Amino acid sequence: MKKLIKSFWKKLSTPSKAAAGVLLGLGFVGGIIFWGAFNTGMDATNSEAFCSGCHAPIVAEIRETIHYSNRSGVRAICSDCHVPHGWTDKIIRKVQASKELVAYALGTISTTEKFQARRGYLANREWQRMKKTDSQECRNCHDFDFMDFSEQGRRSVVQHSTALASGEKTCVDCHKGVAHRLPDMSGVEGWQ
Amino acid sequence: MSTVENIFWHILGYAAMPVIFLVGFVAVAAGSLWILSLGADRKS
Amino acid sequence: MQKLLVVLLMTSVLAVAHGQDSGDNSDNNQMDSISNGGQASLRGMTELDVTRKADPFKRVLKDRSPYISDYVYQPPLIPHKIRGYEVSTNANKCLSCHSFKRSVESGATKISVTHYVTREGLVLSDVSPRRYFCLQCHVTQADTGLLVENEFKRVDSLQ
Repeated sequence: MKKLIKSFWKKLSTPSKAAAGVLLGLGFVGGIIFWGAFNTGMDATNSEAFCSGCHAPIVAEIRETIHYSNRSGVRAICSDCHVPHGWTDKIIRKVQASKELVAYALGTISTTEKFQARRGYLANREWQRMKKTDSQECRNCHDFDFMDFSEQGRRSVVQHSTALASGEKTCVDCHKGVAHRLPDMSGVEGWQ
Repeated sequence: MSTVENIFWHILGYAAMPVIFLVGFVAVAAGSLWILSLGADRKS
Repeated sequence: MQKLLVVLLMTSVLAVAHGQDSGDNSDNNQMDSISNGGQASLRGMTELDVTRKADPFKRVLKDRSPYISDYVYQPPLIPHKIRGYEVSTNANKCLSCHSFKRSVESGATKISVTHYVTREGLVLSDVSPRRYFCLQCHVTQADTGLLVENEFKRVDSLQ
């Protein structure tokens, strides 16, 4: 191993006989390929199929909802809501996802019963996360500044123009259960 | 998630970013060196 | 003589029985489709055994002003869409606006106090289980005209 590193370093620190253009071109193309491969990998781990691999039951629950299928066909998949869009936040979340591998190994939610028992904790964690980011994931698509109140229903107009506009409430405070079934809601603040 | 855990993942996440670039560089470099070696002089 | 009568009787019974049950069902196209007897219904004049093209879905209005009750003790109609509203033992989305506690902030109609009473008349401190599943009594209305012509009028006190 050490020999490999030494020889590699030697090659890197020795002037090459190849033309400068060749070296620069190789680096440029190599960089593009690396960035493309990296992003392809990111997108693959963001896909519905990938998440379903372990989280199939909860992906199944979204099939009844408006974010899955609706009039216009504009939809959201797992990563649109659960993975931050900003690059740094996204990397942090992806690194944090290693925790899920540990949970998979430990079988934390490997049976239906275990999953149902843990739903409240998992849901709450996501709601707290969204509260902290002021429902940023919702706002990635649902831009408040461009909401047309003349198109919304009466109740929406009232709620959005008061609590949401003032910043007193964030999207997830009222729109719980919009994507997946709800856990036991007894004791959840502001629900009933 | 507790604040401690939050900070932990942030540190780890930010540390991962240069690691990604470094590994990427090493991979591209190794690949480029190999391509270069294909066209290198052969001792006759 | 008697033997002949018995034989004749048996033959006639067999003939009638054979006539009733034609055996194979392949001559359906010779039979008329089962008539609806001239009675129109929501299916129009379609015969009973015919499958007709389905009507387009009717929509529920997104959000309108509350409906006036049609009769005393009517469970008020739901004037807004309820798509995706979960009403289960885990969560009751209706109550997240219509409960006593939440109605102040939401501006929604409070649920009636009758919903806190058990069958025996005992008043509970929260919604009675027999009134918990809202959609067993409360329904939305489709955005459509009268499906069946009628002359129903509300009583004076509700008009």
